[in-house]
Amino acid sequence: MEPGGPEKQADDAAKKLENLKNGIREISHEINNPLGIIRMAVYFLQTTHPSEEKRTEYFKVIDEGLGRIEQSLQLLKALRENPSTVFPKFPLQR
Amino acid sequence: MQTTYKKPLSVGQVAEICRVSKKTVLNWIYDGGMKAFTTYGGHYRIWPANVKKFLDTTGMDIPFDFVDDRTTHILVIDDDHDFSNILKSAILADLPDVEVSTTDDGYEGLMMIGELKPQLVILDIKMPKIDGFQVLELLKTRKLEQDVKVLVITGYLDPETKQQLSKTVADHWMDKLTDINTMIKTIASYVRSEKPMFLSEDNR
Repeated sequence: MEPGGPEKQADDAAKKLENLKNGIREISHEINNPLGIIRMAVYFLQTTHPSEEKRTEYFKVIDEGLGRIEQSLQLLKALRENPSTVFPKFPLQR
Repeated sequence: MQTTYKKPLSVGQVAEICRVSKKTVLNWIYDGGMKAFTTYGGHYRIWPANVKKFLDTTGMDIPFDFVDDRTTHILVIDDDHDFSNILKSAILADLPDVEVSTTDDGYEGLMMIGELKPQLVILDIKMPKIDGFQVLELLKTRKLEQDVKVLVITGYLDPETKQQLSKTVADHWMDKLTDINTMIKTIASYVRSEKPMFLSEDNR
């Protein structure tokens, strides 16, 4: 007989699912933030005539945003491999 | 020579202008007839424009000269500095005569609302220390005393969050991925007129 029985197994599965849902929600939030920033930076680059200094600033922001999205995708990968993954404190360290 | 009022007036000053007691002025404020705000020290102050509005509404025949010296102010409360900075640039590009302040702390944001008297607060939800929902809860009383609108711009707007927001004092909400023109038009509508132009059933 398996330890814990069917009730505990169902409870564990429910906890994993909840963890998964929360994790996806948190990661979505962490991806949306830099995506929004990147969009705005691209908008400014396309529609205004920014100074060289501003252009550098916008490209830097786009680069950093992409880095944040990459971090979040790593976490998604970890979640896929182990649905019980304990998430770091959001927002992720930048 | 008649005085031209520019700065916020104290209860005593308004009482003198209207030739009533301070208690009467306080009653006007409590009843909601005269719009006032409180300073950090808890004292009531009334913008001259709101005194004039009250006098006109009640038909009180008291000469009152003023200049509406209020600067339009927007406060952004978001722990994501990159987002706050780029949003500030976007706002100033379209509304160059507006002042934009930012903070990454909800508690500091609440203090700044009391000090700066912004017309609009742009608020994130997910923040450390105190989240947007807690700020909205603490803003309940403030919103009754001070004409401040709250626009929530969040990184994740799922149905659950929208439902929660509908129970708060937030006036409008949108996702950070909202088209920037729509975002800026919504912000502009809150600072340029009494009623916002861009409201959907879903977003309030």
